[in-house]
Amino acid sequence: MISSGIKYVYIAYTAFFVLLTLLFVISIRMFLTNKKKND
Amino acid sequence: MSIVLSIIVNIYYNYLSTDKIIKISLDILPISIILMFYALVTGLYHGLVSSPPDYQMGETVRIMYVHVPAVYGAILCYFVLFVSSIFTFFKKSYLAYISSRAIAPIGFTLTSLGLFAGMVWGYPTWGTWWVWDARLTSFFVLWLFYLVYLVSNYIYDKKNSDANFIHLINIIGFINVPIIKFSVNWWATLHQAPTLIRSGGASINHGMFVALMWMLGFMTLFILSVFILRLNSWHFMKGKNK
Repeated sequence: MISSGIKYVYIAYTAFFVLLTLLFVISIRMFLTNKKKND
Repeated sequence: MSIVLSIIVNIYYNYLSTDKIIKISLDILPISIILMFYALVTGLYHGLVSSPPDYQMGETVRIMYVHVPAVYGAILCYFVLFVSSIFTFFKKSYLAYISSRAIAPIGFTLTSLGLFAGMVWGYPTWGTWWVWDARLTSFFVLWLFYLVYLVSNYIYDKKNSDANFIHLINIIGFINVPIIKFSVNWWATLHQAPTLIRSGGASINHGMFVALMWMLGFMTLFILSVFILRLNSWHFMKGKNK
């Protein structure tokens, strides 16, 4: 079963960047929205 | 460890207020974000270009540079959740409460990512996506602790009430962290034994070690940046009622 398996690398990196980007963007939006409400 | 904690508590109660901490965190934020992107670009260069493939696993070893930082981040977040839960449960600290609310979604995301990247790495290496061995099961339990905390918060937010007892579950859940770390030593597991933190020093190729360190640095700065953003958001929401 051991292979070079480059497609698994793509899958893992895609999941990594999609989830981290989502978390980052949601957090920035949450920050800006609440800051605006607070001001 | 207890000395470090007592120094932190002493500084907090004597020199810092919540407002000061919030202000300092906002000053740190831009620096943290810039350094985070620098560490990411450097880490990706080392991870995808300059580090060698493994002699057995081939290119799939590069999954290590996302799997290990995600798992490290998940445990780091749980440590923050554990400390803030102690202060929320026993001291009713406002700062600790917003810290625990801010850190939990980050930890949950990273735990999910650690599990997923591990499965994607496991399939070409072991021939199976999942086995109920000690390391994988104990890490899955960590994911469940995060889930219980997030779902409980969601339910109690709907009812407009605070459930302080949930923080006690977080404190008890910390028992699971050393179990995750030592599971590969205590039981026979499909998951490999420790590579970085082990007696006799790290057992890893230098190029891989450099890439991993940059990605771990990126993960630390990512958690710090997102934590500051979420901490301030919670402060904006709850600050008027504290």
